[in-house]
Amino acid sequence: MRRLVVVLLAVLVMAGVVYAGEVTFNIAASWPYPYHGNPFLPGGVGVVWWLSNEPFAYYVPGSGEWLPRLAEEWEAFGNVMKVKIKDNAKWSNGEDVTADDIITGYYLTKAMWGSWDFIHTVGKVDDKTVLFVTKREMTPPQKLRILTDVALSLAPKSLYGKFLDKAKEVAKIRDEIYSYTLEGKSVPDELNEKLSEKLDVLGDELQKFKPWEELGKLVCDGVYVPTRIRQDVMIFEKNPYHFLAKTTLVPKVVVYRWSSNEACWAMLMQGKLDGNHAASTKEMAEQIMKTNPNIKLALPSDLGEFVVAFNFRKKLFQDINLRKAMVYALNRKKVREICYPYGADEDVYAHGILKTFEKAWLSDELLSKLTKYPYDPEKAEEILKSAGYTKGADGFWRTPDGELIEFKIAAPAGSSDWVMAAKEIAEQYKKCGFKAEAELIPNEIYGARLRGGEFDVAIEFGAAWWGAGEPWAGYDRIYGENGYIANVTAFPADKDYDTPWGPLSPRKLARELIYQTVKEKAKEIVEKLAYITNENLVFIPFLEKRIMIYYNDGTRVTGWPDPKSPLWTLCPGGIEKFYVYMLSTGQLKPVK
Amino acid sequence: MSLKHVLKKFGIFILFVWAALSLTFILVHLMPGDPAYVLATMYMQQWNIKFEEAYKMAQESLAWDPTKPIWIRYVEYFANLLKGNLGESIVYRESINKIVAKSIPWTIFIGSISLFLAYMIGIYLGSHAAWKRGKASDTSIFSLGIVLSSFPSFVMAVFILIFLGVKFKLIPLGGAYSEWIDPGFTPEFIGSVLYHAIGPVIALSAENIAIYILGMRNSAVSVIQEDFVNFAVMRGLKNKTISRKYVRKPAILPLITNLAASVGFLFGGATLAETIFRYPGIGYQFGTALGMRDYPLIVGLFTVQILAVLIAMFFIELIYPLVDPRARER
Repeated sequence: MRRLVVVLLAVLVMAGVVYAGEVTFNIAASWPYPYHGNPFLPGGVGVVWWLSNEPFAYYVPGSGEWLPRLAEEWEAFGNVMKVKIKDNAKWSNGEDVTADDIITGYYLTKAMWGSWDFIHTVGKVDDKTVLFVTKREMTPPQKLRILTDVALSLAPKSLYGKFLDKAKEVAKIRDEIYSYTLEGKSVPDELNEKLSEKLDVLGDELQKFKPWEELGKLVCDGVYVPTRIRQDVMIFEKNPYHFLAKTTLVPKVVVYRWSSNEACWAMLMQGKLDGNHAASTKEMAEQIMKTNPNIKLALPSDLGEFVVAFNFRKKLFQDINLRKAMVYALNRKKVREICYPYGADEDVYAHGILKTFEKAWLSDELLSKLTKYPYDPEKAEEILKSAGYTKGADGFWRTPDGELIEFKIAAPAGSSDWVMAAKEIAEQYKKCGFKAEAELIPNEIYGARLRGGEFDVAIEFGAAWWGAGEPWAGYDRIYGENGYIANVTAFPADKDYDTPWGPLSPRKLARELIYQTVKEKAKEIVEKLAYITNENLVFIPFLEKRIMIYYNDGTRVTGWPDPKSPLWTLCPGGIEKFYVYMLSTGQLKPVK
Repeated sequence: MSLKHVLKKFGIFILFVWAALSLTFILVHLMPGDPAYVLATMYMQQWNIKFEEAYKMAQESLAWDPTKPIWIRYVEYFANLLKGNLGESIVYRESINKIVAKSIPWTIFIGSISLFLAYMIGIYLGSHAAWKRGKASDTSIFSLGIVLSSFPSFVMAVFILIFLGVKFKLIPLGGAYSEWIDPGFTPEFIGSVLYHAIGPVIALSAENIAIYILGMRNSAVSVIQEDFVNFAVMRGLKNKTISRKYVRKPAILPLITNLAASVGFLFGGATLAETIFRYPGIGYQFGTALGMRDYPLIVGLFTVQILAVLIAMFFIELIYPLVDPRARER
């Protein structure tokens, strides 16, 4: 009996292990299941987004370089941008990618998602040339959006053309509504009703279309197209019609479901993954690299910083003395070591420029003018005392009005790094005489609570330059009318603040920065914004987030760039585009 | 068993189903959160757009009207349920029946194997320990039960993955079957499915084995002290016969009811196995639905789970008097 069991098990194991025989590039990601393949359904298309679709170009924030993809060339003048699509750009069914396809994508995304409100018209010059006309002079962010947004090539006209007329109707109503908003007028009810009615019809029709279920395939213009989709794994094969098919040397990409970081760590240790960015402790990272010496670690900037954001709606935090005391009382380096050891220290300034890019945007002269905030609890105490704050018998500080300094540090309960940060910061503040405690809020309602002003101080991303890689994105987030941090903190950004250049409003400066196309002038504005941010302590940054990217060099593929290469900064906001670039240009190639 | 008895039990069953489903429905809808917000944060990260824009997109993408009163949803839910329809997911815009049908076979597959193994091994070891109580084998088995029951399931699953998967390469690192095999009634497919099930089944069984070891040992120890067992010993029957026929059979009765409850835990356990072993199944749908606040899908999945537990309990109530004469109504 025992022998029979052993033989049976051996047969099962032999039958279960099937050798693929082809070089693959293996990663982990997620996708909706049951899979539909319709980008306009909630949940979208998952990892297909970057692997199977091409934007006009990629932008490398680390070097400021443009890497043309679908576009052969582009030209921007005034409020016009002309984009020439590559002659050999083709869909996976062999048909040409044309201006009509881009226009279909434009109208569908505009209708369904309300995107592109800054664009006046889109038209074609010829089959391979698209013309974008914006409502005002095109700003760098708008140019970046048009060139890098993959949404424009999501919908081949051959598949989605049947929805185009209805999409154009909805888009037209959206434009009318937007013009009312621009003029500061209220939108007539009948127009809103009309939009809702037309959108319902389009949405119902469009979202019933499930290409993967109905056609058994997707029509994509990217390097790899999905050929097998299961709940636990997706397999992509090289698109033979892609303009870089010849230089793409790895024929297949296997994407395993990213079910947990633990599953990814195990796969890395065994060499089953070629690239992965599952965050881990320092010890785990070392263990992974020790178990599998082919695994290396790159740490590019995630283009975002973790901060303690103040709620300026609360009187307590309106006092700059208290905010200054709080920054001096915080050992930011220790917080970083505890919650995100691979992050970069931001423990001297609070200027809203990411540490990695500090030298590129801020001169030494400006940095010398800024107040430095090193960890110095004695200085914190001195500031409080001279501002009239007193310490009670219970060891806690009181305001000059006798109010106990008591606050909660909010963090999303499901984000362990932020939870650890909130707890550590609370402990440090308690030791300094602030009655602080961490407040854990479910992730699903975290942003809504913060935007509603229901918090004291909160852990958040402060300056975040995702996608853009430039300071305008961060300062727009901090000071812009619709900026997330501006809405969360309610910092009075309209007000003028004293600066060496005279009184200046950060909101106006942030807006000016968005429209600035000359880098030297942009730098001048950035310095003014950095000064205001640092001296007024809108928040306390405590680390610049770095993405922990494990890459497997030598198991199946080789040819990764140097860990310091700016190419890695392609990763934030869609790491797959970095893999796609490396694979399609032949830089990542099979191990001989 | 009279028809009246069956109808009475059925009436109670229906009442329980209604109460459990109503409570679940209400609790799920009282959960904090907003599906549009969750989707908006995804859009924001995916497309590098502003939150306000992402939120507007999310609201327009979802088949969800937040202004619809909860009681109307409640009536619709039960009306659909009576027709065997679990509703439609607001995220996938897909029939929940279809979503469940695609995912649940894998959960049932590993869940039932692990439950069967845990039951058989737990019962055997538990009765053996009771029979050898006070001796080394009892101490070892009892300690094993204690260790397994106190070991967090999550840690156990990771331990199995790293130890058997990474270190000794005895089990695959996840998935339901090799990515290079097409499903079908072939030895390759069947072998691959069974091979990939080893890790999740061990992880799922471990906790249940502990429950059955400890439960069976306690039950068997009290049975051993019964007069009929002493009488069997005095009659000179073989130890094996006494252990199997006189001790194990009556001691197993209380554990039969445990089985019904285990059906429910099966779903919870499967979530863990799916997370660590990337195993496809209902756990992924639970995780996604909860994360996305897809209320109809959450309720639909709980409905399946609740019905599974209550139906199992109903049948056990019906068949229990057949195996235990003491439970028969006079």
